Amino acid sequence: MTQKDLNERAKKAVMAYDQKTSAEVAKEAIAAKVDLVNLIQEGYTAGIQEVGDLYQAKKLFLPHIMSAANAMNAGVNLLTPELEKSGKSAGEGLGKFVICTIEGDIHSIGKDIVAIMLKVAGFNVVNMGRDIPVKDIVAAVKSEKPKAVGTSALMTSTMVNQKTFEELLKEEGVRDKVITNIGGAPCTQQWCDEIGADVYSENATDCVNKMVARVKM
Amino acid sequence: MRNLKADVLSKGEIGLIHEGSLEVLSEVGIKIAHAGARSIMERAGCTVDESNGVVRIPRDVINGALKSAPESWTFSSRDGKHDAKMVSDGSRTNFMNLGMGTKICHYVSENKFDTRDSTIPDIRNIAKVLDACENVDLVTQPVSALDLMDKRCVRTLHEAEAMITNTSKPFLLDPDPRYVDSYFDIMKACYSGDEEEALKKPFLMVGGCSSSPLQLDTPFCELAIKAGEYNMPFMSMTMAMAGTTSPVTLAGTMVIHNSEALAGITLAQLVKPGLPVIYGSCTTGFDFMTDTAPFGSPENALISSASSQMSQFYGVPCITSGAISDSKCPDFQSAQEATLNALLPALNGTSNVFGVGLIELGMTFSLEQAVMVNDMIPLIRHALEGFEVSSETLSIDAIKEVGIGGEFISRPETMAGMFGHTHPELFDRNMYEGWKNTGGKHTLELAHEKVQSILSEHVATPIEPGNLKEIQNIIREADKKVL
Ligand code: B12
Repeated sequence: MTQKDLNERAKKAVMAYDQKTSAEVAKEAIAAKVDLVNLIQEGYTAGIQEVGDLYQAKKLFLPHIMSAANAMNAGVNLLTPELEKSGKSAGEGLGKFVICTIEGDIHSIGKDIVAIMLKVAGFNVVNMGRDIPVKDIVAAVKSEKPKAVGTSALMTSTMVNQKTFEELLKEEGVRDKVITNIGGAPCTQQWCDEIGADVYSENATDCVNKMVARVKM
Repeated sequence: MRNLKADVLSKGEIGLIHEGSLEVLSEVGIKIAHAGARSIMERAGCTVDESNGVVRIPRDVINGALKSAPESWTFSSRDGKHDAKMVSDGSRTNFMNLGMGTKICHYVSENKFDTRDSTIPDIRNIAKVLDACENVDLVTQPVSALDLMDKRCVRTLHEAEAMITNTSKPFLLDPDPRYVDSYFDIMKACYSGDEEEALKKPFLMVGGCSSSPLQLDTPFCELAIKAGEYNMPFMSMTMAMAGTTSPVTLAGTMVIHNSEALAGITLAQLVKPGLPVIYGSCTTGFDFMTDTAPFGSPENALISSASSQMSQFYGVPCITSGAISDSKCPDFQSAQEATLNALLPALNGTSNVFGVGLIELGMTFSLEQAVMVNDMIPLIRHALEGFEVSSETLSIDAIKEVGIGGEFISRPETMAGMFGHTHPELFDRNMYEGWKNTGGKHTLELAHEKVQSILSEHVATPIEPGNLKEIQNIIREADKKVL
């Protein structure tokens, strides 16, 4: 099996939402000692990006993206420890993006959609989960050193924590180290301006468009 | 009188959803975040896994809880004039608004709307309009006060004050579990400090929403426990979205919804057997074309109707979403959606249709939409009555008397019976000239005028000045404690 064949099969497995084949390809690649970074980039990532494009074009939908991502993970999760052993990494792509639902808020579906689309677009996404204390997000900004951090708030009672987050970033002296991105149904551009966040996104596609442009600035 | 009934589920299907739920609750269980609530469940005979908070509920515990839950109860109003009957036999359908949006859609002129963040003055206006809507039986917090969002105050208490001072109808709070004591104190103050009265005739209800699939979070449990302490009615509400937080099939979604609603009711009944509880559903579908959870959909109407049937099977009054829309302003979409998802559950006999005035997937409130739906409710109620067929109403004698080619206008039965037919206030039934001559206005314009006249003229039953002062005191004291 050549590198090219393996890349092609990995891509196809992702596009067919086929976790089993995806994992098999990863195992074969490890045994064949091909370039694993290349396999991730030209195989798995190429597959998910194609699915992502079809999502943007409204030809495929969330269940397809989620299933393709699961298929991709089934392969990539096997490759990661191998890469670590050899001291390589799959690269940062567009850079690290920390995302979570903010303190007090457990609405996670919208945030997870955004996380997956950012991943598809090429960000190295760290999804911290839901109801994440503001101080923990600040700590993650310090330790992960991401290019951007996105917070989701679905309720008026938790939107205020996005403001607290901005303030704490400043207090801790890391505000200018990261692009802040906010979202969630009740959030608006006006709220974004008011609290001094960098980017407001209405939905996942808007987020990807704005954030890709922003990090390339 | 209600003659028409439309069931979404057959008896057998109700049984399948019930059995499926019991299987899920006893085998998979439900994760309960609150340690106190877990031990209440454990003492009642549930199996608790403290390593992950999962509680498995056996069938007899659920059956016991359902037995102690009252089949019908009265939701009091603070002036005693708007008490709402909560039943579970399908004999009475109330209508209420739904919350909690973050915006209000202002009517500017024909086809022009201005949608803005909602504020305390908006809440006062909405409460006033809902108070004046004679077909709206009870109310809930319609929108949040974004003007207070980052102020040093207890927002929930200010929102509640804005509501209860402008409507005396029974009120379902947007409750903050930390302030249930204050809610009770407010009721007590309304009853001139009479604690007995506040315990006996609560006019505030609290409710919690389970977190699908199969989780009860801490605020939910705290509210259930506090509600028991103060004998406040408690609503166990679900908000699953078919295809994301529950199965894509509506039957599978019903199993998730029903399991969670039952688990919540069980907790509340274990806290205080006999506590008035509500089986609630805002569960709906998910539109993968737009990645949203629409409320105006027929999926929502079907789930609400099926939920209403389950609640009747259990003998617990319900609140189910309906009369609600995803449109961004009052228009054809809002009319069609509100009609369909009010009618279907009402036909089934849901105890409460939950949605009057809410648009944009639950994010925006429209006063005009509210008064138009208010106008629609008697039409729906009328349709639900069907009509009587008897030897008298068949009118064979009259037909014989009038004979071929006569008229029925001048008959005494017509004079007596004409008021039994519907006559909406805002919907126009004139022919073109008649319409033109009476102002030639469209429904939405008329609705807007009605809103304006309510806002300038309507006054809700006032709270006694002394009592109101006490309420303001309670809020001021609570505000002071906010750092
Ligand atoms: C489903 C739902 C739930 C589910 C959530 C399940 C889950 N795992 O996520 C459950 C049942 C758990 C739930 C609970 C509650 N909910 Co709720 N919930 C909703 C509902 C109906 C839909 C949310 C949703 O998932 N939409 C679909 C997704 C895809 O959209 P989205 O989240 O908006 O995400 C998109 C964008 O906003 C954006 N985005 C989102 N996050 C981010 C992040 C970043 C960084 C970026 C860039 C973009 C972005 O992109 C996403 C994709 O396009 C909304 C109403 C609504 N229309 O939004 C109410 C709503 C948000 N809930 C509400 C309430 C009140 C509650 C409860 C308090 C109810 C209760 N009394 O218990 C609890 C709170 C629990 C808590 N502590 O958080 C209110 C908030 C009201 C207010 N004024 O603040 C709403 C508005 C409903 C209402 N009208 O009352 N809820």
